[in-house]
Amino acid sequence: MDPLVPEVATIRKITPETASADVKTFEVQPDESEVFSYEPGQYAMLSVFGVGECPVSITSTYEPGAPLEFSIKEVGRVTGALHEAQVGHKIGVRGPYGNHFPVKQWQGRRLLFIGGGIGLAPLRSLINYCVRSRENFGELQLVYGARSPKDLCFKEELFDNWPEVSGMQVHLTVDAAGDDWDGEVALVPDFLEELSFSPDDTIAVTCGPPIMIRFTIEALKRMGFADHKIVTTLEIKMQCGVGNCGRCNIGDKYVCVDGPVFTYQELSSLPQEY
Amino acid sequence: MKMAAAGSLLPLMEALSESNDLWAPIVEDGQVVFGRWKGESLPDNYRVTDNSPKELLLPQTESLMRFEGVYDQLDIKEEPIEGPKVAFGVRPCDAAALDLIAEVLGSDDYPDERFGQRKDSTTVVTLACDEAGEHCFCRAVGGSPASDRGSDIMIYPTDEGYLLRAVTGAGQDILRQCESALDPAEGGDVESAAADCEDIEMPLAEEISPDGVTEDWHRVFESPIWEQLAGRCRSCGICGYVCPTCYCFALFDDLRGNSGVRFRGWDSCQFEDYLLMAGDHNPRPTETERTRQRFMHKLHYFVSRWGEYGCVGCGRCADKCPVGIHMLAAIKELEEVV
Repeated sequence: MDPLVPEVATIRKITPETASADVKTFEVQPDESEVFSYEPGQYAMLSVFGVGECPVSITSTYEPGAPLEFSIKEVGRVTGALHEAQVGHKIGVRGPYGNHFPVKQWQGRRLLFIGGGIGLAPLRSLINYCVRSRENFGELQLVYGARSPKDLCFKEELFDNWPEVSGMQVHLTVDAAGDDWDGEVALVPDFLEELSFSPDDTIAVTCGPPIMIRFTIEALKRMGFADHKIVTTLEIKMQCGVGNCGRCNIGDKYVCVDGPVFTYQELSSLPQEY
Repeated sequence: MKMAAAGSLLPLMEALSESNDLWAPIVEDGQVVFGRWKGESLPDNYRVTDNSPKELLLPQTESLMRFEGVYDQLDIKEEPIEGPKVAFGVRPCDAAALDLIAEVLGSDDYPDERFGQRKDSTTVVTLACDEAGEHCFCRAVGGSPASDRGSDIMIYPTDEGYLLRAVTGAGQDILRQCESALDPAEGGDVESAAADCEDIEMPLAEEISPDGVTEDWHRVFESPIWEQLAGRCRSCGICGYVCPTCYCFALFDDLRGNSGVRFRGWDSCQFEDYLLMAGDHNPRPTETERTRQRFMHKLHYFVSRWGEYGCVGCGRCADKCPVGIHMLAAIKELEEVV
C-alpha cells in the first residue's frame, strides 16, 4: 500500500475546547484496522477528502483499543473543513509520524511543561503519559496560559484531574481577563520566571506560539536551564510526513522525520527558518 | 560486449521498441525533449534534453488515489502504476540523478512506493558524452561523462560506431532481446572508449568547484550574496522543473461533484507558497531565503544528509533560468566569499 494513501477513519466524538469553539478535540477511529501504536509527541496526517491534508499532533496517549484524539484549531483550509465535519463523518488518517518525546530517557527526572494556547495539545499526550506511569517520573509542573480564560483548552484536566495527581502542580495564567478570573494575568514567559523553577535534574518541555516559545526559552536560560534540557516541538508545513517531499527542512533536518521534537541545543545549530 | 550494427543506434532502438515502451530524446516543436519514442533516430548533437528523464520515475503530475464521497461513505482506490519502460539515450548525469533521487525516495524508513516501482521497472540505457555542452560541469560535482551510475546499459560512442556494455542483469536481458540489431564488437575496446568519454574537455569543471564552499556554512548562510543573487529572481520555478535531482512534491485534491482525485505534482522551493502556512506565516518569505534554500540544499544540506552533492552538473538551470540565477553563478559567488 502506498504510504501516502490514508486510511479512512470515522469521527466518533467532537468536543469544543474553547468558548468560541475555535479549538475542538476530535476522537477518531480507523474503519478497517486497530489504532496504530504511537508515542507522545508524534503526529498524524489528517485528510478531508477533496480539501487536502495537514499534519496534526496526536493529543491522546496510546492505549490499546482507545481512539485517536486530535485537538485542532481552525486556522486554514483543512482545519476549517475539519471544523465543519460532524460526528460520523469520514476523514483520512495516516501515521504515526515523526520522533517523540524521549520519555524513556526522562525516567526519574522532574519535568516542567510550559504550554500556550493550542500548544498544550502535544504536551497533553506527554503529560498523561507521565501521569499514567507516575512512579517513573519526579515532580511534574505545568505552566499553561491562553489569551483569556475562555481560550484555555482541556479544562477538565487543567482544573479537575491534573491538580489531583500526586506530585503534580498546575499553574495557569491568561494574557487578559475580566472579573470572572481570579487567577494570574501575565504572559507565560513572565509567569514562568516569576514562579522560578530549579533547573536541577529537570527537563523543560515547551510548546505554543513561536513568539511564546522564543521568550520562554530566554526565560528558561536565565533560570539556568542548559540548552539540551530545553525541549520543544515545532510546527511547519508538510506534505508527505515521511521525509520525501522536501517541504519541511530546517537546514539539513526535516521536521517531519527528525522532529517535530527538538532540544534547544539542536535548534541552535540550525538556521532560524521556522 | 556488443557493438551497434552499422554504427547507427536506430536499429537497436527499433528492436528495443518491439517489446518495450521506449522513451528517448525526441524532437518536439523544434526542441529536444525526453519523450515516448516515435521511430526516429536520436536528434543530432543533442547534449541534454530540455526536460530530464526524472519524469519517468516521478511524473510532473500523477494521481495517487481516487475517492468517492467527501465526508460520507468514503471509498478510496489507489491508482495503478503504468508498466515497465526503457529509457534510451539518457545522459550519464541524468542517470546518476535518478540514483540520487532514489537516495531520498528509496530510503529504508518510508520508501516511496510509486517511485520505487517505477525505478525497478525502468531500464536505463545511457549514452556517454563525447562532447561537453556550454554549461556542463558534471566533473566538478563528482560525476563523469562516462559514468555508469544509475544505468543498466552503457553506450560509448567511438569513431567506428557505438560500443555497448551491460551494467546490470536487467541490462543484459534487454541486450539479449535485441541481438539481431547488434554485432559482436570484435577488437572493440570498451575501456578505451569509456576513457575517451571520460577525458573530454569540460572547461567549466576546471573553472569552478563547490568543494569546500559550504565548509563554514553559518557564514555562507549569512552571506550577502544571496540577496544579490536573488534580486532578479521571478520565482518562476523553472530551475526545479528542469533539474534532474529536484524531487520536491506537493499533494493536492481535485473534487468534481462527489468524486475526487488526490494528485501529487512537482513543487519548487522557489515558489512563495511553498512554505506558506495557515495564518500567513512563511519561514522563507522572500526570494533571498528561497534562493539560498535552493543552493544550500544542493551544496550543503544534501551533502550532510546523503554524503554527496545534490547536483549532477547537467547545466539545465544555467540553460533555462531567464535571469541567470543558477548553480554555476552560485558556485562562482560562493568561491569568492569563502
